[in-house]
Amino acid sequence: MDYSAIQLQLRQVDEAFSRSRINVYSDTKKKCHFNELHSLFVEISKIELSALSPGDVEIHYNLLSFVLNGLEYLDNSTLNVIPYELVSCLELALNDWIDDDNFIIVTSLSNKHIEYLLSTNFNSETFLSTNRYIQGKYNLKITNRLIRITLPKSLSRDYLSSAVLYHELGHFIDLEYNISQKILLKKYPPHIPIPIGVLPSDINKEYRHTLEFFADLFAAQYVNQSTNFFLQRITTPSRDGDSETHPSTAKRLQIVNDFIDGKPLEILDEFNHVLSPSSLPALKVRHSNLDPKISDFKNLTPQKLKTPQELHAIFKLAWDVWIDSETNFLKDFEEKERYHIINNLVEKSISNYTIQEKWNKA
Amino acid sequence: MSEITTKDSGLIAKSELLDLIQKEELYISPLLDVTQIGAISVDLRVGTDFLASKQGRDEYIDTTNNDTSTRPIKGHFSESRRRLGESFLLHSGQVILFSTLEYLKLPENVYADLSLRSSYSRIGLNLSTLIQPGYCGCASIELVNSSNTTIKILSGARLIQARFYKIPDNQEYFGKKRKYNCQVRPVSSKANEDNDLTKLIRLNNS
Repeated sequence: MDYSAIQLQLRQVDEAFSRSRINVYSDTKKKCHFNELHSLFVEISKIELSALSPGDVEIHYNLLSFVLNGLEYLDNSTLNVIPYELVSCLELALNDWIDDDNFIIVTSLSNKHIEYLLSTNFNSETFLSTNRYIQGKYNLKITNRLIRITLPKSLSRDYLSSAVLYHELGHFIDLEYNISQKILLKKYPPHIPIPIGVLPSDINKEYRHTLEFFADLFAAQYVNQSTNFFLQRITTPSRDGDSETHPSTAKRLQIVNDFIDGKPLEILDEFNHVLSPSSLPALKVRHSNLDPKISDFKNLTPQKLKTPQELHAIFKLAWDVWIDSETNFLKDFEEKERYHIINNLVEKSISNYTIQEKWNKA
Repeated sequence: MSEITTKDSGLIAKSELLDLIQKEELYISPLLDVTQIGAISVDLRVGTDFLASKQGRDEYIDTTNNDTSTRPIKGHFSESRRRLGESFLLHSGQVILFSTLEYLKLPENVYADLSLRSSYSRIGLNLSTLIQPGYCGCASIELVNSSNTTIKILSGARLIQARFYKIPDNQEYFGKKRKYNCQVRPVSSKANEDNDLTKLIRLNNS
């Protein structure tokens, strides 16, 4: 790679900043991040590119990729675009697991039909090494790390489907603290030869499956079986089975159901045995139970929420109401309207809670 | 001054408003400040979501046609959001739609008449909205700036006053198909979905 690659990137980043300058964000941390990315870009723009060593060319290429990627997520996290209520819930969940206030949950709205994922390109190691480099070279610092979550644009206000974002947040926590990795290392210590018959690809598959189980259980703490309901919706039973990256849906559903029912669960114990020595919270139920038969939704009004536990429970309530909507208080509405009403009530329930909290603190 | 209270019909005054709210027969949430409830009205706040009219390549908003040959009515509006406490500019002659911050549910024998609080009506803003008995949702408000000056308003400001009136008979709100159910953000007009339009066009073409 020569410095001409950076020249092209600089033009791309310049164009991206000119479009993003007018962005209005939902909080000051995002604005701060934008300003810090811009400062980095300005410093890089000043250097004599042809004088860079091949190693420095690659470093700066990666720095500009970091800036571009950050801008992409910030552009999708403006006040007009960000699924604000969803992110509010995720931020509350994150607070249970991370004391550090220097994380920002940002979203990217995908045009793909069902694309929910966590971007893992810029993990803590990359972030620390980036900061070390730019502090040394440019006396700059990036204060906050982005937790980058992608969701389908068409589903950004679909709270029943987007409860799966808790699963993506679970991936972040797992990767941040290397939880699944620690389990695999316990099972296959590096100093001991792999058992005969076990291939490295088998271990990799087991690792990937463990990641999924953790994310499912993490989500279930907050949204109960909401992710199960979504998975059932998108899985074709005849084609269900383990893949290289994911356990079968049937296995995933069973583990979440057992967790919610309080049944003994070996994998839950394994996770908690890793979490505890790391001074991390245990995986446990962190939501209330909202009974759909007596919920405020029955009156076509938002649910009154008093605690974060009740807030997270709104997603399960929404699914319960939706599943029975042909026979419950929504039965006289058309199907499309029923779904719309439930999503509206979820949104307003969350909004009322967050507004009331902010008002009380102001 | 004695309060105006009626049993079967008429303007509902504070004591009865409080009673209806306490029994959750009249639902207003979030009610951030109890002083919003006045002697004969309840102040409602500007919400966080806005639709602002914009001029595009089409010469007019077509309320007569709902097929794909014309631009949808919502295409004549741009969406934006504000944090609570953040300002919004309403330019001279501009129409904006916003929702009340409060989600409302009215009893089936109560309707609401929304108007501007006098502090705002005297600077050139216009609004008048009626909410049907049994309505549930955030009220969609159409606000027009008829002054020759841009006006800055805050999301969350107590812009509106709602007077509630009792009527003798219950009206079943969902007794007929409604276009706007449990809305929580402003929704642009669905005038071109009126059932009568097809008949009117047929009439004209015959």
